[in-house]
Amino acid sequence: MCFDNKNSYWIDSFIKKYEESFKKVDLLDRKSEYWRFASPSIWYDNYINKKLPSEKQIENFSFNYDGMTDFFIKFKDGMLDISSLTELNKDEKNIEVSSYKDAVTNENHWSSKKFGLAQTNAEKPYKRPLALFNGLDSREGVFIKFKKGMRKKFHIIYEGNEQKKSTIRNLFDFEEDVDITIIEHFYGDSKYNIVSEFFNDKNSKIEHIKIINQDITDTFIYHLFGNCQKNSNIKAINFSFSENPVRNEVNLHLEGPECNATVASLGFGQKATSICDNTVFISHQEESSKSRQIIKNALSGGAKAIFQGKIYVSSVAQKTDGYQMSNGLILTDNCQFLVKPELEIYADDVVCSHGSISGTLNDDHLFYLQSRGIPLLEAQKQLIQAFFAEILNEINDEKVINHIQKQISIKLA
Amino acid sequence: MFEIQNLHVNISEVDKKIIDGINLKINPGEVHAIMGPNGSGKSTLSYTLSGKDGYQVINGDIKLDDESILELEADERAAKGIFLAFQYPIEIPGVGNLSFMRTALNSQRKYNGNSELNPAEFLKVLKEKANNLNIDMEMLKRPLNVGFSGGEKKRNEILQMALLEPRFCVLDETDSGLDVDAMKQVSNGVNSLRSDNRSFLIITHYQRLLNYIKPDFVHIMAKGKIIKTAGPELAIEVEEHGYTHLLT
Amino acid sequence: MSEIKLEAKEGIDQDTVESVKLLGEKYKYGFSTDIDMDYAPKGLSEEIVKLISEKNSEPIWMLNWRLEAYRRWIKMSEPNWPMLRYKNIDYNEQYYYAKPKSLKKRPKSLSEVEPALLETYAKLGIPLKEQEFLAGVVGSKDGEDRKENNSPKVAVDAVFDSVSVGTTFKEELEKLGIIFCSISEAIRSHPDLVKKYIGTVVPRTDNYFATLNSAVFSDGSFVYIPEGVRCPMELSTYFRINAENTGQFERTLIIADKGSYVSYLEGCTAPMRDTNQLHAAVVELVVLDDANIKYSTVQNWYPGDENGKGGIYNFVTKRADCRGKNSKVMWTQIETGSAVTWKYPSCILRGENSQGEFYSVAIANNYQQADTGTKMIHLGKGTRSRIVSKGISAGKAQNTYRGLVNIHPKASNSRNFTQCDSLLIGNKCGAHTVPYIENKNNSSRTEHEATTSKIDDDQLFYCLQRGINEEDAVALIINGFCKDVLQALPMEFALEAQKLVAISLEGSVG
Repeated sequence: MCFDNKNSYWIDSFIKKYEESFKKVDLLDRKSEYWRFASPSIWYDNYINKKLPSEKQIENFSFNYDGMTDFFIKFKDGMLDISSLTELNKDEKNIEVSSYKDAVTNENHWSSKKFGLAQTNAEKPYKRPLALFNGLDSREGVFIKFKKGMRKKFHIIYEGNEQKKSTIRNLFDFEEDVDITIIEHFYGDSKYNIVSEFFNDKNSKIEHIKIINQDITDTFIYHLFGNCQKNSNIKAINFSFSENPVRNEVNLHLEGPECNATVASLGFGQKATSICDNTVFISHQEESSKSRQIIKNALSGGAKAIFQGKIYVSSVAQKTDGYQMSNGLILTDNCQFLVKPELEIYADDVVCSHGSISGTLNDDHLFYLQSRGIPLLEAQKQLIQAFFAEILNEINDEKVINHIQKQISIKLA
Repeated sequence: MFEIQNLHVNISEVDKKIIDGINLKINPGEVHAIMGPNGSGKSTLSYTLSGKDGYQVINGDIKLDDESILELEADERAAKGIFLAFQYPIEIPGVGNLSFMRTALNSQRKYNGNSELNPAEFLKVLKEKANNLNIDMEMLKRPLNVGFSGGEKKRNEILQMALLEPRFCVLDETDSGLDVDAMKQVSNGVNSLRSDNRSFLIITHYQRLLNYIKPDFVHIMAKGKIIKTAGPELAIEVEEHGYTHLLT
Repeated sequence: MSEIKLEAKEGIDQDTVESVKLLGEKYKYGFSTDIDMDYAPKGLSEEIVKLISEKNSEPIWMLNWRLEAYRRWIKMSEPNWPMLRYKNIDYNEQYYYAKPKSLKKRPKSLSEVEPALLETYAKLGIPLKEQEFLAGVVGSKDGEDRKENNSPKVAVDAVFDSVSVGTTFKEELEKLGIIFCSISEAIRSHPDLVKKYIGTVVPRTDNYFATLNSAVFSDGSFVYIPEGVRCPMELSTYFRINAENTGQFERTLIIADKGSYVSYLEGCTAPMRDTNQLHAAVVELVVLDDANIKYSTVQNWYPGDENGKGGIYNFVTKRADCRGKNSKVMWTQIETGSAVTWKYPSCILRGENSQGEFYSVAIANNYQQADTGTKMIHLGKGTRSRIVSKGISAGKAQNTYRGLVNIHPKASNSRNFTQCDSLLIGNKCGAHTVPYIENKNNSSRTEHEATTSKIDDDQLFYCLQRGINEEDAVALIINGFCKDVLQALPMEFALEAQKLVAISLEGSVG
C-alpha cells in the first residue's frame, strides 16, 4: 500500500516499512511483558473489528474558547480542517505548517528528513505495534516546524461525530530556544490512534497537554515519541476522563545532556469499561538530565488503571536524576490498580527513585474533615480533588485548569 | 609543627581558584582562629588540609613536622593525627556509632604500628572519654549521627576527637546551628582537650565561639588569602565593626 | 548494666571490624574433595529418573510422580524473561546423580561416614564433627553441656552432591515429635506425610526448573513440626556441590503444624571449577493455623572467577503456603554466590490474617548476574506482607530485583510495604528494579519505595577522615546499608553474613 496508489512519494517507503514490521511483529503474543496488564485484543481487535458500546454524555463540558488569542487546528472525524491552518500560515517567518498530505507529497519537504526517526528510537525493546499500525494506516495530520526562538501556544481540537476512525500522524520540529505550548482536546464518537513525533532541539521548552474528554465513545491510543537535545525541557501531561480504554504511550529519548523531562497523567474512571493505561519509557543517554513521572488514577465502578513505566539510564548518563511516582486511589470494589514501575540503570553516579502507593481514601483525613462539619460525601470529593492537585499544579493556564476541574466536578457529582 | 606554605587550591568541579596563597605556621599547643566572611574559602581550607577529593593543590605545600602530607590519602592524614570536626557531620544509616569509632581507632592504631583494642578494652577507653565530656552512652548506641540534634552531632565530633587523640584539630564552623548552652558544652569539651602537644585551627564566621575557646592568634581570611593576623583582640574588632572595614 | 546491654546490642557491629580484616580472603570454600564417587550415567532420560528413584529405594508412587514431571518437562522451555544472559545449558551433559561410594550403604551414625567427607564439612566451618554435634547422633549428654554454656544449638542435615550424609540431634528432636531427616528417608519412613504435602505448594508443573527438580531431585531435607511445638533449636541444612558436571537438585519440604514454630537455616558452597554447574532446588513450606516458619539462607555457591569463568547456575523455586489463619513466614536471604541466580522466595497468603516477610541482600560482583526477589500473593482477608530488598552491584555484574505484590479482590484489609534499594559500585555494572504491583481490593493498601544510587561521597570521606581506609569504609557503609536485612538473620548467621558481604565485594573498590 502506498500513499495514493498513483504517484510515488517519499512516504511510500515508510508506509511499506511499517506494513512489513506490523506483519512481522507478533502482535497477539499475549505473554509479552508489553501486554502484561492489558491484552492486545482490547486495542487491536476492537480497533479493527468491533465497536465498544457508545454512551454519549450530555453534560456540557466543552472547552470555552471564547476570547482566547491562541491558535486552533481542527480535525473532524479524522480529517484535517485545512482552513484552520490559515491563521498559523500567516506567520511563516516563524512557523512552517503543512498538512500531512502536503508534506508527504513534496519531495523536498523538511519533514522527510525527520519522519519516523523518533519512532524508530522507541522500538527497543518493544516494536510498539499500535504505532506501527498508525504508520501504515494514517493519511492525515499536521507537520509543524517552529523556528528558532519562537514562542507560541496553540490548541489542536479533534472531534468525532460519525463513528469514524481517526488515525492521525503529527510531526513537530522544535528548533533551538523555542517556547511552545500545545494543548490537544479529544471529543466524541471516533476511534483515535494518534502518533506524534517531537524533535526538541537545544534549549527548547515544550509543554504538551492533552485532554481526553469524557464523551469519548471508543478506544483511544496515543503515542508520543520525543527526541530531546541538550538542555531541552519537555512536559507531557495527560488528562483522561474517558470511560473507555485509553492507552497513553510516552517515549522520551534524552539524547543530549542536561535535559529536563516531566511526564504526568491524571485518570479518573468510573465504569468497568474504563482502562487508563500509561506506558512510559524515559531513556537517559547523556549526563545530568532530570526526569519525573507522576501518575495519578482515581478508580471506581470497576475501572482499571495501568502504569508501566521505566527509567533507563545508559552507562554514560552519569549524574542522572530520575523519579517515578504512581498513585492509585481505589474508591470502590472490583477496581484494579496494576503497576510495573521499572528502573534499569547502568551508570553509578545517579540518584533514581520510585514509589507507588495504592489504597483508598485515608480514614484520618476523612474524619478530620467530617469533624469540622463537612458531610462525608463532600469530604470525599475534596480529598479526591486534593489527590489530583499535584498534576493540576503542573500547568499554568487558568482556562485549561478550569476546564479540567469542571470535568472532575461532573464526575464527582 | 603544622605548616601551610604558599597554598593555592582549585575546586576541580567548577575549576575555580578558591585558595590563593596562604601561609600559616602552627606550633604545638597553639590555638589559631581563622575568621572571614562567607565565601572567603574557609571550608575549602579545612577540606584541603584533610585531603578530600576534588580539592586540587595547584601550588604550595602542607607540612606536618617538616614532611609534606600532600601525597597522603585522607585516611593516612587522619592516622598521622589530623582531625577535622565537620561543620555538618555526616549521617550513615545502619552503621553503629560505637562500631564506627572502634573501626576508626583500630585503623589508626594499626597504621601507626600499635596493637588493636578488643571490644572490652575499647569500651573502657571510650567510656572514660565520654565521662570526661559528660556524654551519655545512650547516644553511642544509635546509628552514626542519624537522628542526632545539632548539638549532639557536634558533641559526637568532640568525643571522636577525644578518642582518636589527634595532634592537629581543624574545627570547621563548629558553632553553626548551636544555641548558647550547646556551644558552651562543646567549647568546654574542646578546652579540656587543649594540651602542649596538640594544636587547633578554629574556622568560624562569628566571634562568639572565641569567647569560649581563647585563641592565641586570629587570622582574617578573604578571597582566599589571609589579609590580617593579630591576637584575640582582632576577633573583637570584627565583632564590633564587621568585616567590611578590613576588606577595603 | 547499660554497658552489658550495649555490648550485646553491638554484637553485630563489632564483628564488622573482624569481617573487614577478612577482606583479603578469596572465596574460601573453593576447594574440592577427592572422594570416590558413584555416578549415574550422564544425561537425562526416563531411565535416569527410574535409576534415581531406585537408588533411593522409593515407593512406586514416588517414581510415577517423578516420571509425570519428567514427561511434562521435556515439553517445556526455559523462561526467557529474566534479565540474565548465560550460555545454553546442555541438560544432557550433566550428571543427575552422584554420591560418595562410601555411602552406598546408608551410615547408621556419623561415625560411619567417610572421614574425608566430614573433613570437608569441617573446612566449611560446619560443626558436623564437633563434640556436641557428634553427641547429637549418639545421644550423649554433651548436647546438654552446650545448653548450659548458653550457646544456641543447631541441628544439621548435610547434603553432599546428591545425597544427605547425616543429620544431627535427631533423637533429641524426636522426643518432641519433630521429624528432621533427609527427604529420601522421609519418603521411606513417613510416606503419608510426604505424599500429602509434596508438590502442593510448588506443583510439578510450576515452572521449567521446578519441574526438572520434581523429576530428578535426589535428596534434600524434610521437617515436620507437630501441633503446638516450638522447635528448641535452629534446624540447618548445608548443601555442597563437589563432583564436576553434576547438577544438584535438592528438595526441601517443611510442614509447620498448628501453632508450631521453627527457624531453619540453609547454607550453600561449591568448589571452584572452570565449568558451570547447575543447581535447581525446590523448597516448599506449609504453614498451618498460627504456625510460624523463619527460613534463612546464606547462598554462597561459587560465583565464578573474576573473568566470569565457571560458577554455579542457581535456579531455585521457593514458596511458602500460609494455609492457616494467623500463620507467618519470614524469608531471609543473603545471596552472594553463584554466577547466575534466579530465585523468588514467595508467600501465598491464603489464611486469614496470615503474614509474609521477605528480607534480602543480593550482592553481585565481577560477572555475576542475579535476578531475584519475591512474590506476595494476598488471597486471605487481613493479610500482611513486607519486603525489604538491598541489591549491590559491582564489577561487571547485573543485579535485578523482581517482585510481585498481588492483592486479590477478596483479600480485604490487606497491606503490603516494599522497600527496595540498590547500590552501584563502579560504572560497568547495572542495577535494575522490576516490581509488579497489582491491587484489586479497595480496602487494601500497597506501598512501594525504591532508590538507586552509589555510595555517598560524603559518607566515604567522613570515614576516611577518621582514619578508616577506603575498602574498610566501603564494607562498613554497605553493612550499614544492609543492616535491616542482616538483623533479620539468626545471630550466628548474621556474623557470617557480614563477613560474606565484605568478601564478596573484594576488589570492587578503587
